[in-house]
Amino acid sequence: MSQISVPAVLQDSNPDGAIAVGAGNFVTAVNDPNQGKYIQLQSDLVSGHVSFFTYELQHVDDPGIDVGFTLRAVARWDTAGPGGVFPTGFFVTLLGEGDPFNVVFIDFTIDGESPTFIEIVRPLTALEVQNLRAGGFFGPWINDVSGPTIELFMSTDLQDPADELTLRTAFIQFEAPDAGPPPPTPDVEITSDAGIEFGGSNFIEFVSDVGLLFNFSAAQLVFNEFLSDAGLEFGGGGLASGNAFTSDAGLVFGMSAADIILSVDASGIYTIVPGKRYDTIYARNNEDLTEDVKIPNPLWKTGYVGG
Amino acid sequence: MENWLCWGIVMANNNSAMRSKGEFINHINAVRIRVVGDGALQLTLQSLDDVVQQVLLPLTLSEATNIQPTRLANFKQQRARLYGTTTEFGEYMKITRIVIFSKPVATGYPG
Repeated sequence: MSQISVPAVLQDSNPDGAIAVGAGNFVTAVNDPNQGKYIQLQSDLVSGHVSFFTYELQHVDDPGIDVGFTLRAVARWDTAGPGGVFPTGFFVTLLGEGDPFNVVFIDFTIDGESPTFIEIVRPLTALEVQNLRAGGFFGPWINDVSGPTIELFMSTDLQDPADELTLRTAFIQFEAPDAGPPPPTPDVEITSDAGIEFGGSNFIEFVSDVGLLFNFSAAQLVFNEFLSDAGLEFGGGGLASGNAFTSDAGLVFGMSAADIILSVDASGIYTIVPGKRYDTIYARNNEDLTEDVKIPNPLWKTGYVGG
Repeated sequence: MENWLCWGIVMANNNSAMRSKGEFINHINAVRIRVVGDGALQLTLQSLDDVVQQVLLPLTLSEATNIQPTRLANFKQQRARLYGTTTEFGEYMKITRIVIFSKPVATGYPG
């Protein structure tokens, strides 16, 4: 899992000119002994202010952190000014390859002078995670910006030029699982959204030196209908060790009147129960897994008559 | 019940024809059964080695009945047996009497 957080890692890069961390301007990185580190966006403009920060992914090996796609944005803001309601928008945008896309947008209204603390947890999509891993760059707009970039943008509708709105962002944290090793590339790969159908008047033969492998990690292999005049044959080495047909309720071969049923670890003891009109196959280790089956066609025959 | 072998000593006399056991061709025209149970009793007449068979109409079983039903048949064989079975889940039968109506119609097949 990789994680980035501001402001320790970020280095601000302003399109109007490089701003060193700690320098006073619209954007400052603050290290307050009482309040900790945070990025301060300060705007006294009607349209707002934009700052760009480059970042670098840091690998975090913390088993306590859930592996997944998570964005946490923690913002704290307070206002300075005459008070009132200020519609404000706060963007956190991850700028990856190609067009930038918003990771989170917070639209809130600041009411008067009141400190506010907010934390947003937002799941990321797979594409966003890929972009987060791959990094990216904002584009040709900023010649001196390269690498993955986070944009913090605040837009405030301040009517009075004397008003001032300060947004202090405590940290912005991205979490994304590290990409695993790539799977082996097959020589031939067939994919289809609508399914794959094999048809024809002849048979279909799968030939492999190592056998036929069905690998379903998240789902079972389901045969709705398996037709064969000759049946299903496991030849050669048969089923590999450790692999078998499994079923909680046992296995049923054939759907005719003479079903063959293999129960899971059947008890093997036949007990006559007066008045019972069917057989019950009990699983030895789990009494809940039983199968009621019919008594296989009880019959009688007379002797030959005649003469 | 299994097949059985039976034989007898045939002794010629002045006023009786030779009597044979088991080689006459018999015509079975009906079977009557005293049976209770649940479900349907499937009946079949079978020749020796099951070479020829006739499936009779099934009997609907009741857990209590005052009727001993009859099923018509048309089965000509030297030897025949009646076969009964149930096939569905939960069916059962209790048989206490079987009557097979037959009559010899020939003494044997041509040589």
